[in-house]
Amino acid sequence: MIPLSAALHHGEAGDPELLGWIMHRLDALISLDPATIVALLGLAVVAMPVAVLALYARHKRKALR
Amino acid sequence: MTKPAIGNGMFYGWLVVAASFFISFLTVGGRNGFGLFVIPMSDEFGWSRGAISLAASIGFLINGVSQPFMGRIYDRIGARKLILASLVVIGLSNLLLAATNHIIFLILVFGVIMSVALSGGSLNTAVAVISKWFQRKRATAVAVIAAGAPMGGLILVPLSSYLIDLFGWRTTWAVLGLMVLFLATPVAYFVMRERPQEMGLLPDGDSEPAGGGAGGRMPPSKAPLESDRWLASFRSFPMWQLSGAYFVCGFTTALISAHFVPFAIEEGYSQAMAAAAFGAMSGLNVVGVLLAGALGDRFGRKNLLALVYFMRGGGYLTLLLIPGLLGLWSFSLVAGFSWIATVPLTMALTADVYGLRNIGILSGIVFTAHQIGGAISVQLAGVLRDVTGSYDISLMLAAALLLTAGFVSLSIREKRYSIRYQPPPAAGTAPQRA
Repeated sequence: MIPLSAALHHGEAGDPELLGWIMHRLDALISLDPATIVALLGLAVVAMPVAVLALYARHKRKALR
Repeated sequence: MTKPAIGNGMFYGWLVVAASFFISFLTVGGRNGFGLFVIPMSDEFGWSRGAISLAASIGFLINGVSQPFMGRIYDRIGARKLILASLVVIGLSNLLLAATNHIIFLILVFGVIMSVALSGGSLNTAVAVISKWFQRKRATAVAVIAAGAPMGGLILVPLSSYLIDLFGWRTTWAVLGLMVLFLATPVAYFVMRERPQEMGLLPDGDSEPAGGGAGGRMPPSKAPLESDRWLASFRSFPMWQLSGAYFVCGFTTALISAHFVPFAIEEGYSQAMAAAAFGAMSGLNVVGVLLAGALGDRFGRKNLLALVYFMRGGGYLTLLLIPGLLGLWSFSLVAGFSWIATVPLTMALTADVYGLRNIGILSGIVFTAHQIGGAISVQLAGVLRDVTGSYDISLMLAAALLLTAGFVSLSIREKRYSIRYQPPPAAGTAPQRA
């Protein structure tokens, strides 16, 4: 047997079948269209570095004073 | 002494933690979604799923084997350069994967290049640098970074899945690559700093060199087993105890991750129920790891580490002994809490015992033990399933190993070997190199 996953522990690839099951379950739970979900998740991803860099800029500004 | 805080009173080290969290979130989380690409790529090229999964398998091994080497490079050149170089390679590799047209290309880029680069920008590198920023709150800080991986899986796997549905797998690889290049790389470039002393700060944001004791401030002396030569660590018990227990961690997590689907089918669980239980377990990872970090800083590491292994062992026993959905959900809840909780406790204890001089290579070696355990368990469980017709022996073996790992963790002499429990240095003693 060829291992494909040790999901969500140290960056290994997830089992495609299991991921398929989970996605199917998510589809059943969330009734939004895929484009909206992509926009929302994408926004969440982008917000993180923006927040970190904003804090960094604030620190830098204070340090220069 | 300069101000110990950033603008709102927060220690700059927490900003380094936030940056490391995001890097872990994006790189590890993105990699968790590889399975989503298997079916569309297999459909387009007519490759077998086994051939595509070979890229993941090779990547699993190379990622594990390359950790100590990357750790050595970290010890020589520092985290910032290594993480930046790794992120650029990971981002470009993702872009290259969008142009995949041959299985060898996929194996080379995903299985080899990206896996080596992931080692450079990995949790180990982040843990090594964070260990310099934090002493008293080391486990908490490491736990936050470790939580980035499952958080990334929880968000990036669905994102990748919907992107593949909407735009296809090539565009999705490209989007993941662009996110690494244009979101993670700037964060690393601007925020990452090697050590607090670079900014005129002290670990944990202390405003003066500290006194001793686990409950109080950390002594600024050398860790009890710290040595100029990393090989010397193998002459002491904690290295073997930590690596051995972490081997069991890898063995037991990879076992269930790789064999969960056939196990669930064999036990007659519905797809929806199995997916819900596994999803819940992934979510509990985040809660468990954060809790372990906070408690580890408050109550010490090794007893908690033992508890985590015992808990996971108990989870495996419930899977064996309690039939049906109750067993599955009991396992998900108990094991979910413990799944990643080992990471901050093991890594923090390694740094506490062996110091910071060779932390990159030492945490890399401990991690390699984890990956070897994972690789062995996946193969062994497959063979045992073929021979015996069930997963029972594998589950029993996992439970027994976890109980052993628990006792091994308990036997670590933390009060003797951890810097947290050493008396403060006498006045006039030179401070520790951070």
